[in-house]
Amino acid sequence: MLKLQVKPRSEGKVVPLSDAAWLEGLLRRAGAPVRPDEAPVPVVGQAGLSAIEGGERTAEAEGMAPELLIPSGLRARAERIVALSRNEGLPVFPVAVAPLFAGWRLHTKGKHYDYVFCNLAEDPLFSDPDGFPIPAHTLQHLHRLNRSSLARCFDLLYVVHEVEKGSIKEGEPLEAERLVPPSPHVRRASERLGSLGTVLWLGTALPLLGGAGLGLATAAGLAMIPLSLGLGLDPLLLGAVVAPQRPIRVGELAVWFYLTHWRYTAEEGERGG
Amino acid sequence: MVLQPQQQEQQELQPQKLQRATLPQLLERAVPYEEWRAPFDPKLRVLTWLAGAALLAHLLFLAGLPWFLRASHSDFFLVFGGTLHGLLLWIADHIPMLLALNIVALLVYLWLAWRTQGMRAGRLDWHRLAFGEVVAGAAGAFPLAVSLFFILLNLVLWILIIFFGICLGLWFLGALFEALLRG
Repeated sequence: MLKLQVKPRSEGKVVPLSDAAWLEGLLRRAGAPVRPDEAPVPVVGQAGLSAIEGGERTAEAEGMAPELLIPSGLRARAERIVALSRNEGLPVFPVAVAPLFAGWRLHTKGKHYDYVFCNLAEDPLFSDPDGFPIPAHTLQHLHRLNRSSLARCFDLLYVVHEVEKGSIKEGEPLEAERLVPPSPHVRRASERLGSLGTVLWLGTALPLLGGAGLGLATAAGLAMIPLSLGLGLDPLLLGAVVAPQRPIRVGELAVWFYLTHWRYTAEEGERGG
Repeated sequence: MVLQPQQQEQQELQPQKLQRATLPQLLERAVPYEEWRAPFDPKLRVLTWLAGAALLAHLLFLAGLPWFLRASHSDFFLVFGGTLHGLLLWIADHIPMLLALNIVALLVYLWLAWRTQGMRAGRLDWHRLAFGEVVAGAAGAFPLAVSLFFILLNLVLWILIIFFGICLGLWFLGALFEALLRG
């Protein structure tokens, strides 16, 4: 178990760490951030609580009383998760402290993309008839996470969808098609099947079309249009935990953990995180 | 799947309720992105529509098979009449199986069209199924195409015969009139 609850001062006085300092320390102990250059989780938390936004600005450094919004039970629970993740060798680490919310929230302050924070249960992909698309290698990682002792640690799961700037607006319906680009693999397969079908049909019509049909069929069979690929969009899966004995409801303060992320691009064989 | 703004407002009004989804539930619903939804290739889409039409035409062809069998015996067929008759006989021998396959293919076709919203987009499985329909459609269209080919070939032969007959007749009449005028 990590010992981050108190920080001894030179005078011998024991002062609890501020929330930001505690979170920063926990993050440091848990491992490297996902992608520090892109700040993958633009935290929607309360002032001074984000490890990313307020990591350097600790209350102690400013000579103020430390902010103590995170209950000690929640701190202990978060530290236990970090310890478990280290034992399991899984890259699970805290990214923010923020209240729980229902539905989805749009974050538009990203430099290149907007971010849709969505409760997994209310994510349109979760109820999509074609299933929730996750690259195969990330699915393997999630299965491993599911087999680990961490699987039941999280009270709520959220997905952060990276979307093109301005493509989604608050108040508008959230559509699955805007969150996930079409699978390039399926598009390629569809093109191959289309070309093969053309050859087949021209072959069927051969008695009628004669030699011209064969020529066209060959040409159609050879015509492979190169696939134009859109920009990659990288969703994140976050797990949120609330303090023990606290209800899981809107507005309840929670520590948010990074679980995994993936990329919807052509490089499907590439490991996301 | 769409989350309507009204649903969001309702959620705001009921702050206590939070729907929960667990990791096992996510894994249960997860599918490899590599097989997820993508639009149908335009060629595949057009061919699938054609396959539907071919399956329907094949069904009508099977329904009218007794008539076609009788017609294949007619004097219209100057060439390949026996071949066509043989092909139609083979189809007639296998009609229960062909009819069953055709009906199954048509039902699957309707299901595919409904599930992919008119061949717009679907998972890899649906693209494969569409290709299966294309194959079924081509298989259904083949006897039709062959029969049509024999009919057209004989029609062309008849047209040629009639054309040459008329030419010959005209030439004969011309020669007759010329002989009469000289005589």
